[in-house]
Amino acid sequence: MRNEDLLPLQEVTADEPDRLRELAEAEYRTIGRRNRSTDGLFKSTGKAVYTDDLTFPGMLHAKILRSTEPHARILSIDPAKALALPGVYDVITGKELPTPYGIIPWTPDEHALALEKVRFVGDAVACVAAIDEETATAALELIEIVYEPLPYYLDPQEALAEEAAENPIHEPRKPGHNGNVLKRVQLEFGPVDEKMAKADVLVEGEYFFHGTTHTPIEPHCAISRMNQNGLLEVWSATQVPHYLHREIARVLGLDVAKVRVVQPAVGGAFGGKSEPFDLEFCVALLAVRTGRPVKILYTREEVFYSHRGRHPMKMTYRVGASRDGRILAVDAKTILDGGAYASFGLVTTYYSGQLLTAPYEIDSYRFDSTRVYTNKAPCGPKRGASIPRESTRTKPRAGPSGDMAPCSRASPSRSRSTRWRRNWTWIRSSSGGAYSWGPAAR
Amino acid sequence: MKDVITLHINGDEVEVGVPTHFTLLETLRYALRLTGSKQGCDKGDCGACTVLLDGRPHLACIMPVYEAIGRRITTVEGLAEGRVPHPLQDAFDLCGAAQCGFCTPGILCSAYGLLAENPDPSRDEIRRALSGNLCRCTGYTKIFEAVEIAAESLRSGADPRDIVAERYDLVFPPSSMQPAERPAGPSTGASHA
Repeated sequence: MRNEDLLPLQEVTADEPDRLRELAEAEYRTIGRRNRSTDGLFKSTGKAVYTDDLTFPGMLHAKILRSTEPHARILSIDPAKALALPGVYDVITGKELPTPYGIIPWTPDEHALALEKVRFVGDAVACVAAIDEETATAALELIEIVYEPLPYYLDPQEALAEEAAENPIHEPRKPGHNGNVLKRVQLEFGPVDEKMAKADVLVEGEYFFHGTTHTPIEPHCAISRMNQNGLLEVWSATQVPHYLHREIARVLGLDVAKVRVVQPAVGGAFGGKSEPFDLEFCVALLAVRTGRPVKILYTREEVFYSHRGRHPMKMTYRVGASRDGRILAVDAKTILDGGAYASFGLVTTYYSGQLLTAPYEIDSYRFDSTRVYTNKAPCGPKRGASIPRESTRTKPRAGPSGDMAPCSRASPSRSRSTRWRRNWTWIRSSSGGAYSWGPAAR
Repeated sequence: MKDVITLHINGDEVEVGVPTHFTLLETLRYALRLTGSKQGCDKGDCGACTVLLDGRPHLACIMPVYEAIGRRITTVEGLAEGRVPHPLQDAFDLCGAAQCGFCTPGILCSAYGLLAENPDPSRDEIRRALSGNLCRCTGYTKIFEAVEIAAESLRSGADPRDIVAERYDLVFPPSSMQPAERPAGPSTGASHA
């Protein structure tokens, strides 16, 4: 289909279902009509196979021991008593998997099991493979760990303080930087100060978004085994089998041709399963070491520890508009609470500023976004990564019910208003409907 | 400690040895390999483990397996009659009510229990009956529509395909609506043209 053919449909909004249907029937075979997924009956008859539905002969079950400290140096780990428990086959700790990984190749700052430090309550420290889940869980309590607690930061402002830089959550990547800052992005488009000075209306506000989590109904699960051809096979409830393949090979030091990753049906993810997690490396290494298939199924608590939900953000916005409803300038300062690891954070830092104009034509804008490490579960992407949150800061302000209503409502052209409404609808749906649309804390 | 117990599941009488602390869900999934029923939260919050006991929905993840002895257990695998899917299953398929599909088995069991008691439920009654089942994908609308279509099919005897084709504009041709494994029947669905 040529681009021009799509034009009539771009002019119609979600408020005009009859017109949408008319166009759909006249020109389009699929838009506005219902389709059917190929696996619908498989899922509605209970035949779809998810990762935890799989089992293999001789399969062991593994459990991950998680940190009870928000920020601490690991002085010692002693697995002797756990290994002595009947039914326990193996215990692994961070030193067995020393290669760092991360979904963004520039910021690999995670280890499957903590190497020297733990960085949040829930950080993985050791992993036990046993004959069944009960034995593995009992063995976790027998692992002796000595921590040396370090100062911890639960708020980005605390982590940005000068004294926090002396005990940073991560070592700074460049000398002289605060290790608690993953990324700062400052970009400017157009003459912001000049346009702001000409604005008829200025709206300023501070907003806070508290963060959300995906909560897929299926908890994360992974199984691994060495097959008869010497191939390491990994089944995982993941959104990113190819990234996982690459990282498993790299972290375990295997040739990529010797690793096979299979993605069974996934019971919901929403961005929360879009990077490699500790359990996948643990089952892979344990399968190599024990020579038996190994499975890990997260508990619901562990799903919340793995998190990667939408970043909490503090946003300071200045929006200048003309009397005829045009946004002339936006000046934004954003602090992202990233949690303990980078995840997709580098990208989210850019998105938090670069996407703030969508869907408007804004004459000029400037943003200053900083993603900060804190001693909490790491944040990542969730449903329309970073877009809905930023967009709410500009849109309700400018929209019919926002603060600019008296001047902006009066004269926007039909096309502008139409475009605004269409994108408003899109933004709402991309946020999954679980959003508060009023201005947040002032 | 293990115990050998007898359960009545989906019309079969099965003998199974289970650890005495096992829940009904663990017994179904890990001892009997009936993996259709899902574990979501393991705490009785999400409803993914819902099964039918004597025709009424129960949460299998918080029910000790001993409580299910002597009762008629139906899981998602037992809703179909032979190879013919239950109208609820057809309606969920046709409406796109099963997206990731993980909450679907539990929702089907809750809906089955509702339709057994109330053959003509209002949207609000469906909402209430499914209030113990969480879905993170669909936003529920398609699930409610599917239950309404199944209810109409059960009342009138009409094929869910015909009801769906009558109510909605469909992309797929009626010929594709007949699943391959479904025995050929008289109805092939109405034309959507």
